[in-house]
Amino acid sequence: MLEISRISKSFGGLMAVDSVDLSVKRGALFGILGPNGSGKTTLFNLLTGFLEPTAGGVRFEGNELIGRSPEDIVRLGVARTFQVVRFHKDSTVRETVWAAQSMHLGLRDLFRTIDAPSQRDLAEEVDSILERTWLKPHADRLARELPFGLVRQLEIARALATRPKILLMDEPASGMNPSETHQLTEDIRRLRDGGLTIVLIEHDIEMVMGLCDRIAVLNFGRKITEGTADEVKSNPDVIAAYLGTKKKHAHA
Amino acid sequence: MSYWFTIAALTGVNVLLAYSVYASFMSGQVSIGQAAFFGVGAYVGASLTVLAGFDLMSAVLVAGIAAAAASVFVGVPTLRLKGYHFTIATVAFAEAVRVILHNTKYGRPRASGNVGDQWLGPDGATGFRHIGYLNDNGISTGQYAVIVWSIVLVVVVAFFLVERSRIARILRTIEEDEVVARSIGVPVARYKVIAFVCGGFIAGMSGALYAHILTFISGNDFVIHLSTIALAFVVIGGGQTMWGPLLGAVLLTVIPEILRPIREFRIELFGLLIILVMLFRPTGMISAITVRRWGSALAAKARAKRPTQAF
Ligand SMILES: Nc1ncnc2c1ncn2[C@@H]1O[C@H](COP(=O)(O)OP(=O)(O)OP(=O)(O)O)[C@@H](O)[C@H]1O
Ligand SMILES: [Mg+2]
Repeated sequence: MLEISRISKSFGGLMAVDSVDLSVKRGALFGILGPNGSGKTTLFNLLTGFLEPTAGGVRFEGNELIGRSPEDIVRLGVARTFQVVRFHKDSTVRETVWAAQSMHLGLRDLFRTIDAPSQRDLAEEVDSILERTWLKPHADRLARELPFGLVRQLEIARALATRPKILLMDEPASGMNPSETHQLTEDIRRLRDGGLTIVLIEHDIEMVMGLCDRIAVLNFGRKITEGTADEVKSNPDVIAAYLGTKKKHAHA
Repeated sequence: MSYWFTIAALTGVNVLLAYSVYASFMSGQVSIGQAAFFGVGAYVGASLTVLAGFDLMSAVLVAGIAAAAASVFVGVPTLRLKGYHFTIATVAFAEAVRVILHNTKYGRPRASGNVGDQWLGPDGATGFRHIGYLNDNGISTGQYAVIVWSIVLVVVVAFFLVERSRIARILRTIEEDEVVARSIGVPVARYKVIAFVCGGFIAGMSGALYAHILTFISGNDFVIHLSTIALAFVVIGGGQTMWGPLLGAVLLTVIPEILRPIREFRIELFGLLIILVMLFRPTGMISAITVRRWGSALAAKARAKRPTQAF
């Protein structure tokens, strides 16, 4: 479904992403691991058109994504969430998700209010997304009043409103407490079971190992290995580059 | 009385000018050049009634379209760029338009008239005199105030409807964070251009209405000072909702008139008011939160009136 071939991005002299190949199959839950600064977010920015690669290509369902604008890429069905949450502070939760349906709508619908009778189906879709992301009880609160864990859910809800085929999630659990993380793990699994293909960047190794059917590990912009959780776990390079350093940190 | 009707008509003109700023303000784009579109509208509108025999309404509409076309010219190349390019371009364009209007001469000689005042149409630095449509058609200032405010009403209602639609929510998202807007598939540049061109259209209508009250306009009426006042209407009234520009334009037009008896301190008091609002209410007098609170209070009242339904 998503074919990334030899994609690279350098910032000045720094190779943030260095000739990375990845292939994500339809229905997969694909994990990307890597220490801080290893190029994970940059890779997402390349896939979603927010950055131009120095070299390489990305095909999604037969379409070349490189050279397209972010708004065109979402239209093809590639949605994303942000590592650093971004949202419109003065919109309510419901309005945030409602606005994110816009790209599928004609001018007439764009001029309608949120409670217009002709917008019933769209409003129901918003409700169902809010329910799935635990935001329903908070629908009429301003986005800026939400507790942090729910802001993360709002990121997901907004992306879902674009009706994606594939969802790129950049550290959706960061800043969440353990019970919220546990909930999120269930949510992601449920999204995948509902037919959505997911690429997940996470620092939480346990989460990725437990959740993803395929995992790639980046280090200094390069893919050092790819495989199932067990294969990745036992790879000596990974232990050295990632798990090892992580352990050291934990003890320090 | 006629004096206050003139003030009423001018207030309406200023409300329209404020909305012309607000249109692109919603998407976070600050124009300090609305005087240009106002000036284009004034010249086009006046030319149409004086030289081409148009009726007022058609002239006002065509003036709006002409100003909208001018704003396409400014908006398309600059709204793709990030940052201050757009704002600077609006200032530069306004200055260019002022100079052009100041040096424009077309029209025809006037049959009657004193020496040196025998031209019908824009006459370079002398300006565009004898815009006599209201007089010629026996329209009183009171009637004209009604005409102006009818147009204002249409524009206010249009903004009221847009404000509650997805369009406004999208424009606000662009204002706050373009990256988010793009991530949900919003063609950001297109939205910004359309909002700005709508603002140009409103400014053009406003300018045409202005020309017919004043009966005499010149390029120097459309200086940057006017653009900044137009922006002040929005910033002081409040740029977060459509009520702000309305309140800002009305207050900032009427208060100086009321303060006319203490003429010497008028400008100072005006300046003080601006500073006070900016210090104590940076969102402007009416903020989004205020409007939301009123909205839910009204809704609660309506609900209390309805008999409760049993399930
Ligand atoms: N816009 C940019 N300009 C210059 N350098 C950048 C830019 N974006 C990222 N980098 C650099 O590229 C490298 C990869 O950054 P990236 O954000 O992709 O890492 P990451 O794997 O997402 O890290 P983290 O786990 O901390 O989120 C880092 O060294 C970073 O400093
Ligand atoms: Mg990152």
